[in-house]
This record gives sequence, structure tokens and C-alpha cells, in this order.
Amino acid sequence: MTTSEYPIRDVKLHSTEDNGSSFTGDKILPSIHDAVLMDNVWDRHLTHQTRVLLCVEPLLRVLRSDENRSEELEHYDSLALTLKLLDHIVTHSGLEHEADSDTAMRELLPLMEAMDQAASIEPDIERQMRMAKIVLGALRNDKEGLRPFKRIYTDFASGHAIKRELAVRLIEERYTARGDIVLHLSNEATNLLLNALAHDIEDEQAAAEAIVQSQLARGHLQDAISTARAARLYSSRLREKIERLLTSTRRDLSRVDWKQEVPRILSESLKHLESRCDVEHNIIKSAREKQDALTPGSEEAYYLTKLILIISDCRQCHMELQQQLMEAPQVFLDEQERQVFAIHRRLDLPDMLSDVLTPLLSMRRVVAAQALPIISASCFGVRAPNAFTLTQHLQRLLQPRREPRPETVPVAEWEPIAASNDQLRYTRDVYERTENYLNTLQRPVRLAYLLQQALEAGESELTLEVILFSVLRHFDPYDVDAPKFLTIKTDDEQFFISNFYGDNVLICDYAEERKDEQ
Amino acid sequence: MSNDDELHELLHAAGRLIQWALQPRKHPVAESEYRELLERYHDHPSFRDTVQAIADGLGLHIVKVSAFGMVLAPSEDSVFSVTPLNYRPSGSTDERLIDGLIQVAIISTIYPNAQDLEDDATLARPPITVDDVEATLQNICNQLEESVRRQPDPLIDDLEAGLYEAWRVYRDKAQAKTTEDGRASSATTQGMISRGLEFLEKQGCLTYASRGEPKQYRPTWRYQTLVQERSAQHIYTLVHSLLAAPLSEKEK
Repeated sequence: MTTSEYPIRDVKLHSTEDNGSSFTGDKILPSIHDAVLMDNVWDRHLTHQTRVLLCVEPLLRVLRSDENRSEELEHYDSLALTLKLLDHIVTHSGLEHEADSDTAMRELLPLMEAMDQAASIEPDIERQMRMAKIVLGALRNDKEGLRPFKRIYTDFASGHAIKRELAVRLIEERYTARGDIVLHLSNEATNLLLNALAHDIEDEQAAAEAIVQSQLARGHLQDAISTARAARLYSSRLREKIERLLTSTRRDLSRVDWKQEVPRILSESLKHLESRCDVEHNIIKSAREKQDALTPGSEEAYYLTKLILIISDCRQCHMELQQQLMEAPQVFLDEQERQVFAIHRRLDLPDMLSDVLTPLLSMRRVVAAQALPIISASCFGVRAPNAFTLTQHLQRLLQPRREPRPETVPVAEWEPIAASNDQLRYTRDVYERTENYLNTLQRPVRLAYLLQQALEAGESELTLEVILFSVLRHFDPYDVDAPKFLTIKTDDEQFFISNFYGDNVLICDYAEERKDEQ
Repeated sequence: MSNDDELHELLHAAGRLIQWALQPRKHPVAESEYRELLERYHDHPSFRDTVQAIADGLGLHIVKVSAFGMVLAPSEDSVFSVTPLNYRPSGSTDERLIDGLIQVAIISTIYPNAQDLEDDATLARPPITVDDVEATLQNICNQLEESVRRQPDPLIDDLEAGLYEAWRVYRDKAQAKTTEDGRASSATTQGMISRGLEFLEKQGCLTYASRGEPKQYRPTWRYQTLVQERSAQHIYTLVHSLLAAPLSEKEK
């Protein structure tokens, strides 16, 4: 990738004193393209792998340089010489006699002699030394004054593609305690040589383990399991939906829309099945292949077994759905043939599910509540209201308590609640009006007179009721409120006013009466 | 017998017939007086008219009279009707609404198709359980919930004003819950359905087909007649009149 694709570049160099690689980050301001979230498509592992491969690049460059070498040296394979050189250095690293330039180059001479012989060329030590110097110089980066190799690569962060620079050494010269200069490999070169390059890349098991480990580390296996489970749930729901449709078809073909809705659902189910069957088949096949290559009992083998079991279960669910899909058209044809001569229902009979219950549930709560009295009257039938009898009441009180049978429904405790929805029969206003009549008596009056007065004043029947109840309440021996008026029955005179009748008692002011007594 | 005596006897007999009909567990097969009065109802128009007049006065509709008995249905304001308050004296409006929905669901479970309402009422319908009724309601709630899944949630103001759908009231109620002593709580949809079915059993509308778990209830001839001849159509007419009413009128 060239920098011309990035309009602006802001270089920030970061130098290091010690060994090891460092990299500087070039922040490229957003290009003309929209920023794309890269988190889903770029993994940090890939950045690491890019850097590892870039460490190998100088080695491969040495190989490529063979093409441009002079004729006398072109028969030498520089890659083989490179690896031998690196191996010699690491073999003597940290030992009594570490490798220096001379010994390292001389280590290559036998190889070059063999190459001379293979090319039918007369061996020449000077020529061989020249070649060895070229190889060593290339690995040391003599051209750049022994500085690190710098390689630019693309990384992705926060939705932007950014350029980074990798600085890496392969061979470096160091002073020993004796003052000698010896050759050391950098960490990158050492790891490459001894770890990455040391693996048997054709080892299937190692490859399988590495793949599964990588997938485990990135959560991909868990993702595959979660996706499969979600697909299974979806298949199960589709299956239930189709089951309901087929049941309704068997009952009454005309109630099921086989022109649009059912074909749509069947088509949707088929598409779902097609996509999942391929994916799950591949996952199981791939998982089984990897499993065969792994050591039995290993952690990777365990996860793969689990994955295979879950996805096999999902496939089973899909097969059940597929079976249903295959049967559905035949059910339709059979029912069509059977029901075409069936007597159709009277048009005025309602379908309780679709014509009554569903609309009732769809209604707003306040509207649906209006239907409650009629629903209760229609559904419960008649009930003769129980009249109270003292005998029955006493019998009930005196009978021994019976423990409820286990199969009976326990009676719910009454929970007194403040029901703000309930309307009180008598409002505060009515009580206040009543007090006006009862608490402002100038002289003793008959109850009938009081009621008549209230009636003529245009008071409502509710006010009259409260007046009467207040008078009746006076006779309650447990009424703890201080009476504001007195009620006295002096004779058997009765009154009949409006809808009320009873003893025409005398009512007088309580305070006034007390004063008279005194 | 004088005319007054005849009239008295007629009214008395009419009253007796109605009081037999008010006792759902009484059957003409077992009660000779009931049987004779039914025959008289069939054979004598004057007696029939008298019974109907008294029933009208009491707010009772005569749904059907047959050898199986007399089926009465109360009008909405009759003292013989079970009001939501009678059924659940202490409870919130939402609980009473759910009770009503459960009763309609019981009928819908017993009669899942319109064609079933045409069947002979003497044909015993299959028994139902609490779970059957629950499934009926939950299936519809699922469909309705699915249909509004992509729409915005209801507004707070609407929720406070009660302007949300009845299915949400049902859905908000817990399906099942155990009490501290391990019994099933009655304040759940399952508990409420069970209570509804038990009440109908006490009313003589259902009988036990099986008392073991799960308990099965079978509709009686009386209940089947009531639903097929009157209740289904009555409730349907009401629901559709509510649907057809303008929104502002509905919410008054």
C-alpha cells in the first residue's frame, strides 16, 4: 500500500537505545471514505502475525537478491547460507567462544564448496568469502549502517487504517567483557529460528491444535455454539407455528390463508433451513476432521466434542422442521378434498377465539372492562342470592373447623385495599349539608319536620338518607363520637315522607338539652 | 276451584318451576315435582306464559326447557346474576378484568371453533384443564405481542390512564408462583384460572372429569346450552359493539 492513498501523513519517530524492535505510528487522518468500524473484521492477532512475517522479510530479501548477483556468485543459494549462519550464531550464543564475523563466515565455506561442486565450478576461497560477506552484510544491514530494518505495515484502530513502522534487527554485534565483538541474534530472529521455523509445518495435529486454540482464544467456537442454539430456537418456533397452522387447516381450511401467509411461512422456513444445514454440516465435518487429528482427552478435543454434540442436536431440530414442511402441502390437499363437501357453519355463529377473545384482548383495558358485567352475567349463569338466617349463621360458627382438603383451591385472604376507582355513595358535600341541618337546631323538632325542610330546600335523596342514618346512629351504644344532637322517642308517631318512613322521633340540640337539665 | 285459587295455584307452580331452575344441581330425573312442572310448561301455553312473565320480572331469560331441565340466564342487572364484585369482592379492576378474560377463554377452550357451537348440547364436550385455558390465553397474547414488537413501547401517560391493551394486563400477571408453605399462589394466572373453573363447578356449569393432577373439568349440559344458545352470541355482540363505538365514546 503506498502513501499516495492517504492524503495526509504525520510522521512521529520514536528511537530506541536498547535492542529490540520498536515501531512508530503514523496517524493518517480520515480519508475521503467514510470511517468503517474495523473491530469486527480486524483482529489484534493479525497485527501480531503481520509483524512476525515482516521479521522474515529481510531473510527473503536475501534470497531475492540472488537474481541480481554477479555471474560468478549466482550459483550460491543465499537462503541456505543465511540459515546456516543464524544457526551457527545461536548455537554458540552465551558460550565460551561466541561467534564473531570471521568464524561465522568460515562456517559457511563448506556449504559453498559443496555448491561449487554441484555447479561444477572450481572452488575458490576468495570468492566464497566474498559471498559470505554479502550474506552476513545483508543480515546485519550493512547498507543502512547496521541500523534496524524498517518496514511499514498497515494496522487498524478505532475505525481507521493507520500505518505503522516496524524496526527490527536480525544480527547485531556486541562487545564482550573481554572487549571482543561477537555476533548475537535479536529476539525476533531467535524466536523465528527456534520457534516458528522449528515446527514441523506438515504436522496435522499441531495445525489442528493451533486452529482450535486460536478459535477458542477468540471466542469463535463459543460464537458458533451460540449461533447454533439461536437457530435451533428459531426452528423450534417455526415448527410450532406450522403445527398450529396445520391443526387449524385440519379443523377448518377456510380459516387459514393458504394463498399468502402459509406459503410465505413455508418459504421462510425453507430458506432458514437451507442456510443452517450448509453451515452446520460444514462445522461438523470440519470439527470431526480436527478432532481426529487431536490428542484424545485434550482440552481442544473436549471443546470440539461439545460443539459437535450441540450442532448435531440443532440439525435434528431442523430435520423435524423439514419433515413438517414436506408434509404441509399434502395436508392442505387432503383437507381440501375432505372439506369441500363439508357442511359449512352458520354465518352468525361466532368463532370464540378469533371473533371474541382476540378482539377483547386487543382492546384497551378501560374499554374491555366495560364488557365485564355482561361477561359475568353470561358466563356464570344464575345464582340464587343467599338470604341470611340466624340459625345457619350459628350453626356455621359452632361447627368444628375443617382443614381444607389438599385438592381444594385455597381461599384467598381478603386484602383490604384502598380502591380509588370506587365511588363513595355519600360525598363529603352530602355530609356537610346534613350537618347543617342536625347541628344547627334552634329548638327541638320532629324528624319529619327536618326531612320536610330538607326536601323543600331541594336536597337530594342522598342527603335525606344521611340525615336518617345520622339519627339512627344516635341509638348505637358504641358510637364514641360526642353527640351533637339528641334523639328522643316520645310516642309512636310515624312519618311517611318521600320513600322514607319510620318513627317520628324528636331531635334537639345536645348542648341546649344539657343546659335545661342542669 | 275459584278463579283466584286457580290463579294462585298457577303463580305458585310457576314460582316453583323457577326455583327448581335456580338450583343447577337438581335434575328432573331425580325430582318428580320438577319433572311434572316441565311437562306442564310444555303442554300448557298459559302456564308457559306465566312462567315467562315471572322470569322476565325477575330479570331471568329462559334459554331452554327440555327433559334435562330448565336453563335460565340472568340479565345484567338481575339480582340473580353474578357480578364481577360478587365473584371477587376484594380485588383490583385489573384482577376483575382478568377474571372476565378467563371466563371467555374457558368458553373458547371448550369451543375452539364456531362449528362446535352448532353441536347438540347433549353431546359431552371434551374435558379441559387449567393448562388448556392458560395456553389459549397465552397463545393469543403471544400473537398480539409479536404483532406490536416493532412498535414503540406504550407511553407512561397512557399507562397511567389505563389506555393500554387488555392482553398486557394478562401478560403482566405472573403465571405461577408458590407460597411460603409450598402451595400454588392464587394471585397468578394459573391460580385465577383454577378459581374460575372451581366457581363454575360450584355453579353447576362444570363437573370433575378427573380430580387427580391435572384436574379436568367437563362442561355440563346446562353450561353447554347456556353458551351455545345465548352466551357466545351475547358476548360476541357486545364485543363488536365496543369495537364499533368511536374511541372517545368507548373510553368514557
